[in-house]
Amino acid sequence: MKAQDFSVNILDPSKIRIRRDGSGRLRAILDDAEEFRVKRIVRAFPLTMPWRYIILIDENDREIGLIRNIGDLDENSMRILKDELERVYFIPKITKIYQIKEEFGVLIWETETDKGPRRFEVTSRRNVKKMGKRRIIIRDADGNLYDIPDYANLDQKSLVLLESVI
Amino acid sequence: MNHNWNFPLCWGGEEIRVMKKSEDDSSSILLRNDLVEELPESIIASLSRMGLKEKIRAAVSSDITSKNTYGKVWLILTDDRLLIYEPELNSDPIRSVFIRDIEKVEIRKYVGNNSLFLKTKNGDLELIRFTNTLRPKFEDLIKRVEAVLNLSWKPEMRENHIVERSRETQRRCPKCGRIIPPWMSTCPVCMSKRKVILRLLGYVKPHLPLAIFGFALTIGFTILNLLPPYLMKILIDDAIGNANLTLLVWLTLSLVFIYLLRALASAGRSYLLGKLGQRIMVDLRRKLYEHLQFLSLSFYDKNETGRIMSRVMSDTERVQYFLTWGIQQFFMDIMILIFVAIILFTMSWQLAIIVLMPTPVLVVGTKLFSKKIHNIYHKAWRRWADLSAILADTVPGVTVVKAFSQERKEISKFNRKTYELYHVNVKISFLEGIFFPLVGFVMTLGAVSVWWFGGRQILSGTLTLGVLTAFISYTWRFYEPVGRLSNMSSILLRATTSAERIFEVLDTRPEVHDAPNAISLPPLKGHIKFHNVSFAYESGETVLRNINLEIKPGQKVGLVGPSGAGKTTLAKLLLRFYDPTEGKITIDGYDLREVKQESLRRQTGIVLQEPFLFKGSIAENIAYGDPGAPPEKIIEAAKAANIHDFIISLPEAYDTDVGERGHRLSGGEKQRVSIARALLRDPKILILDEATSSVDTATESLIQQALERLMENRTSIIIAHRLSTLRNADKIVVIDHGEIIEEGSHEELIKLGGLYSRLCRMQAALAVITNE
Repeated sequence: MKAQDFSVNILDPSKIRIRRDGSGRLRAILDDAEEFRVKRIVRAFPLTMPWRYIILIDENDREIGLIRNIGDLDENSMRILKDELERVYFIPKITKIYQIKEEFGVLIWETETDKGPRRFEVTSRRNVKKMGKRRIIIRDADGNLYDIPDYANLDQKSLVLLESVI
Repeated sequence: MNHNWNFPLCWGGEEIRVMKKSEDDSSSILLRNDLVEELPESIIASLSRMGLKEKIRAAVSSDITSKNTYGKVWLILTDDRLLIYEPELNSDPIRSVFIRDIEKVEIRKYVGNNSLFLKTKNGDLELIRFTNTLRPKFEDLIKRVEAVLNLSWKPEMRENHIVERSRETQRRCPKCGRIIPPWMSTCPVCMSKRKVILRLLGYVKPHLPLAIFGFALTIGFTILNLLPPYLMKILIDDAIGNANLTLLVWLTLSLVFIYLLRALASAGRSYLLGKLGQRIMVDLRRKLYEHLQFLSLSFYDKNETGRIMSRVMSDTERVQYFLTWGIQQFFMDIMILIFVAIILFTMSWQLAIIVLMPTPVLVVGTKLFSKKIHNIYHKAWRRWADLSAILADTVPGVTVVKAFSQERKEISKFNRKTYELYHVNVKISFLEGIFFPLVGFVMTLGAVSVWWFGGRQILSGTLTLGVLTAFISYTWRFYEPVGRLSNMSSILLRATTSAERIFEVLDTRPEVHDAPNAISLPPLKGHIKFHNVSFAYESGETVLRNINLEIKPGQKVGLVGPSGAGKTTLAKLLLRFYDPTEGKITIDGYDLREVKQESLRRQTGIVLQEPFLFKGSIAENIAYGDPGAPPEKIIEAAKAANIHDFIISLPEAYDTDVGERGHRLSGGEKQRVSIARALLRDPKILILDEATSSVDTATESLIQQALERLMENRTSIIIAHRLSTLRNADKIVVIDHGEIIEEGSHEELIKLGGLYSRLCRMQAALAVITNE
């Protein structure tokens, strides 16, 4: 039996182009020759390295390959890929916390995010997770995610509110 | 519940009436009664401009815009088309798709959001995106789109189409739309606390004499506690002031007597209430455990072990404490407050008012403090849990830590967490250190003011020293219950929450229960038939679809398929751990739903994938299904299971304690003990669930032999990953995605060249690798 190949197919950023087809779906073109329909794009490290190690998967659920850093792509491809990643991974960044109210053990957050104002409920303090030194990832009762990349950058009032739940 | 689908928003060209009012702001808590929400003016105007003739079937808003921010986008479903509006961008539809062009509608799950995806004749289309919060609504919408798509539907069926509310929505309170915390079954805001407490009081009823006697002693204690200051007043004013020695003797004696009585009342009260509490707890725990034992497996699927355990242990404890001490303390405090207030006001109303003055400060202060400190206690508890999690991780995993020489890293991780705990604990000390002296100070202020005003009254001759002394004593007795009562609401809340959790378990009816006219199964031959059986778990995912299967008495049937295909579920249905959602299962012609569960399980045996042994000796574990089995039988079973030689090599042989969950035995040994356990029961129908997974080849052959013996003369169902286990099977059934896709003997299936033959080839290849 043939030994299985576990090596990662790292795509050469200079040889891959990304474009959108007529209905807005992604296509990847390798070496200006092969063209793939991209069914899924996956961040290998969605929380720690959102713009690096992006895996492209084709319509037959086969891995097309891995992009090490989308910054290495040509301007246009990068913009399209970044745009698509932002859509697939909807993780608003909290910029301000107006209030965290506790009602029967459920935390009700009123916040401002980079995607607009948002009110959400968190059912357990365990869902307010500290990652690394100053990063906070929050999962709300419906399974939506929110990100505070560095809580030291929050204003004093937001910080005090946040402190009370972590 | 469901609202009818005859919604008033009919589009006839002349008038739009929108009756159903829905929660307008989608970012707020969502209330959803129907799939027609109130449309903004601009969309209504656009619709009338377009002059639609068909009816509107659904009009829902999403919460992510095309610019990838929070905001509203509307989807309108009519009989002919799907329209998308984004009022902030354009007053006309930004997208319009004809129903006849749609081939498939689906929801694609992204991270933190979802998209409604259309497969159309002109290619794929992402129609609209929404956060997970709105997912239930859009799942309902899909059902309605499919109903409109389904052209075979007659118009009147469309008219009355009702979308079953998805189970997901039940996580929110139907009354107020709040999220229901996962540890509760009903909305805590809408739950009637009075009802819960009344029901709780029901548990005191059987022990009424105890409770009444205890309460009487509480009253006695309270009154006795209020007497001494009054006697003190007489002592100072009349006995000492008038130099009356007889009175002094009598008063001293009475004081001794009162203090003695008080001590006795207190002792009696502690004993009686303690006993009452334990009685209630025994009742509650026994009831809970009894109920838990008879609940169906589906209950255990939904609830984590830890949560169930905390209900049996800590929730009962908390409820018991509230029912005895909490309630009594409450009444006692109120009594003291009233009595003392009456005494104070009759003695001197001017001074009484001074005493009352710090009360609001005390009430508010205590409330604020208990809220703040509760938060910090909780924080400390989380830090503490973090720390113990590290220990629970690294102590058992010390081999790995050492092997990768990560001791330093683990130490620094631990140090960091220790420091975090340290900081919180220091904060607690600080807060407590400030609060209690501060409260003391406020109380003293009251008392000192009384000294000041009272002192002046004494000097002016309107008050006696005795009255003042007594007054001061009462003042202190007044402040104590004030603090406790201000905290009552949170104690009450915690107790009702615990009670509610207990009642949730007690109120859950076993989903699988014996029908009232259920019969006892006669000794079985073991002829099993699945009649068009489908099954879906509580979560809604269908695990088995249209299973038709016949197993003749004495046949050995192998179930094969990828993990998650539904093999184990099929076996569980046969043991009636669950009832099929559709279809029926018969054994020897008896429908499983019409027989007593006990009579069925008495004749069936199962060897589980992960053998589970209970604390106790090996003999006790083998005889688990038949505790009265004679020792000869136990040894026989062990011999047949190929475990006898191992057992007698142990110094304590059959009396060897297997430890908790049998941790003192290896995987293969546990497996063979569990085979012996099944053998001893001598079941007519036997289910082997991947019984040889995770053991080495030598052990496997030992187990294999044991299994062969076990299967003799029985109808056996073997769920297998290793196809070698199926060498002697009479029939092999291949299951994939909940459906039977192949059925036949090994040779037939190999010849068929389907999934089974593929699996066989893969395993053969794997065998080559492992043998190399």
